[in-house]
Amino acid sequence: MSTRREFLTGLALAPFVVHLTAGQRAAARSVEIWQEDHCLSLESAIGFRHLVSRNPAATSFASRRTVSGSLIIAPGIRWMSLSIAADLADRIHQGAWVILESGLAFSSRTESKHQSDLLKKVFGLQLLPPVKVGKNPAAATYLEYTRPVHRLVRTFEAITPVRCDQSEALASLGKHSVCIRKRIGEGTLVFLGSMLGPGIGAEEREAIEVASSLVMSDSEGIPLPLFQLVSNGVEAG
Amino acid sequence: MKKSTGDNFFPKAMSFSAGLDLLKRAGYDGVELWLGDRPWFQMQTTDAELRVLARQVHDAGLEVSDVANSLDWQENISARDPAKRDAAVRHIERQIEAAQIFGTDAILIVAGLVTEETPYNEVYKRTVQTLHKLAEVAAKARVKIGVENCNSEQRFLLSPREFATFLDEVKSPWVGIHLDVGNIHDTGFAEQWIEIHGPRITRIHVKDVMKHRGRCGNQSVYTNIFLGDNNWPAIREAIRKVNYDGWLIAEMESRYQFAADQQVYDTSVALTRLISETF
Repeated sequence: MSTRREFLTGLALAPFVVHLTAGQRAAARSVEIWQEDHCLSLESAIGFRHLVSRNPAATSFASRRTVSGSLIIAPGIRWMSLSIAADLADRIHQGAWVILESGLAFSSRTESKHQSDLLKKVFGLQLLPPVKVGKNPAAATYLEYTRPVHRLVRTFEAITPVRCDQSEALASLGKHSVCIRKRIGEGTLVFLGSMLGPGIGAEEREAIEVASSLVMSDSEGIPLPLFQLVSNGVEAG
Repeated sequence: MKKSTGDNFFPKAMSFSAGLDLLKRAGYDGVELWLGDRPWFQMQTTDAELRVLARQVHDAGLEVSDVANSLDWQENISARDPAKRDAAVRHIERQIEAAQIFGTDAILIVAGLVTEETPYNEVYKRTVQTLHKLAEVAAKARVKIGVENCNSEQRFLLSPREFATFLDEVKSPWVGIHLDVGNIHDTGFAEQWIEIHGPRITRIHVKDVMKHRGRCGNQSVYTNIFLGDNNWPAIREAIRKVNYDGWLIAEMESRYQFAADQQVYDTSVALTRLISETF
């Protein structure tokens, strides 16, 4: 099992912890953004950081949802090591809510295959080779999220499709499932096969709405539809 | 979504009532009425006369989609000449009054004209200032002012981000964008304008554009829907993305040389194809 230090060294991470106001601190712990050392991850992290900083209510909701009180966002991931992945999986098992955003669409075929194998081994994710989003006018350029909210969000040049049960699917592009949500142990893994962070940074309205609903409750602390589905027992929990 | 087109699209010499009948037969849901264009709707047209027009529209089985004007090109709120600026404010206020009489909640204006003599920064400031005042009038009337993007003709607000900043500075929920997807030419992509402006879109004007012609030649840069360079599937997807469910208003510049009414029919069919996403 890797330590936190190993994780930081391995990914050259720049962890980000949201600082809360005194009133919120009692109820909440932290949101961590684990960032790899490349521009794709950095760009996406900036988007998520902006989102989370603007909405500290996210942290209080995350703490209620999870045993460990952690919401971990890993943006634009391309070369996570086995030990780091295992560490992350352990955090999920303990109750963390993890958003793992794929940056594989910009990796070489070999890198992509290696990373896909690793994610399958550690998280049980069955990724398919990345697909470029075509310029054919008939082709949809938007990813269709059906949960937690129904929105169309711009794809980021390419997608990483993922095989999943229908109950796990959050978003698709044509016949491909692209984003999913999986329960693992006490926690939850949200896999994003199309980058969302850059859209947040670019102020894409629908990207912000989807990301917000993925990571936070509304201002009143009321869970959004995804979480209501879980509490209603519609999805396997 | 509902289909509309302007009364300035009626074949020449056709009466108002005959034009409305033509639109109804062609399958439109509404009509865009242009202040200052056809004889039936001028600045001197009285409220009582406007009510007669409203009744004719209703009797034809149509609605008024919005109230546009053709006067902004001569009298603009950005003009240096105070008389022209005042005249512009007056005709916009008249559009708002007319919209109330017609039972619609949106007007179209062309705000800001940059010329060789009237520079950009000057036009920008004056336009924002005047819209601050007009926004109060619009709010009281509960009629939205849709500022059209006539990018190339105005030489003003040429990018979607600048347009958004402009609306931010006007800072009123009663002032949005009347987005013309044919007006962007080769300076961008209509679908991106739709995405960026989303809920601020008051109405959408629909026409196609021949991007390679530019605006300086002697041929119209505009053409019939599906005949030009707009990426219509992308535009339709963007409309769906931002959940726009309002009026699509066809605006044709190039006209059929013969059988003018046929263009009204053909345009209606094209709008239906666009709405139904059958490309």
